[in-house]
Amino acid sequence: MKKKILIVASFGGHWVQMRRLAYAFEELDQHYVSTNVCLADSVLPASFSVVPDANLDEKLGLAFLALKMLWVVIIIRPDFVISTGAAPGFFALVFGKLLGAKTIWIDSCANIDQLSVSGSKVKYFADLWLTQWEHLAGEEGPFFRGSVL
Amino acid sequence: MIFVTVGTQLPFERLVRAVDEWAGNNKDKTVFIQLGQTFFRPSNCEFSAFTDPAYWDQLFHESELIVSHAGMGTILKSIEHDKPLILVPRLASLGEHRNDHQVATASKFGNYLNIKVVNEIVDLPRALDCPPANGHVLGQEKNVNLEMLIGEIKKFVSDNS
Repeated sequence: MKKKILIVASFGGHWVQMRRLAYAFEELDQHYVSTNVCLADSVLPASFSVVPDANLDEKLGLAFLALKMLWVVIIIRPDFVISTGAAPGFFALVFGKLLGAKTIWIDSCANIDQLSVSGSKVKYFADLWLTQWEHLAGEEGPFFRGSVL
Repeated sequence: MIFVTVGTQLPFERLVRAVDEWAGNNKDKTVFIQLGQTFFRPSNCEFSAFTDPAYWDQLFHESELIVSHAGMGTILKSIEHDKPLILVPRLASLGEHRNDHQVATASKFGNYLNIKVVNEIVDLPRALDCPPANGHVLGQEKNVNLEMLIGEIKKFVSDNS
């Protein structure tokens, strides 16, 4: 049976970057998660879930997002979780890791001066922790292994 | 057509006003502005506050020039499709964003042939008069980076399967 991957990216730049990586998932059973329901048709025949968007200033929104993401992870039970950000991806990696999935974080290439907030906080939940800029890589991670550009 | 897009989260009055003024002086050009949260309503351009992804794509592909805040989605899309793009970074000092990361982002992409960065809004009319051409932007080096990243993900998946 194919391994399942949960692919999480917020609408906008995070999503565009993730779609450029689609070829990496072709041998896996794919389930996409984003913040805009209009994207569902673009990933067919893969399945799709929508979650609310939230940033770190919105405590209530974050709590709601976390609950929704926990639900998605429980239902899908992925073997792998991958995200380019932002907050939804953070929660997906946290819950995925706690439920036994192997997790990949690829920090958005928009973060040039420093890692994103989600990208820094996700450190302990990412089995593969990557930045897309060589100058942001460190010996303990995040690591540079290429970029979508 | 020229497609101006400023994202959905924050207003961008400075850009929209400058484009509208230019469009008033260049009546032969058709300009469509996706306004987002911008308050100002253009009088020389077509506009819409929000565009769903399919319509946004249509506008993007039908336009010969894109003008945008320095948002990653538009930048990547323009690189991928080799579409001429004028980038106007949002400035924190004018309340256009929380910080100046768009200035940093724009500076990283200014060397692409199809991208022109406009930091001072007074330079925008000239950039619109003489927009960037398209160039063969996805050079070999860029593809190597993407291949490397995809390879890394595949390796990680197979090592853990």
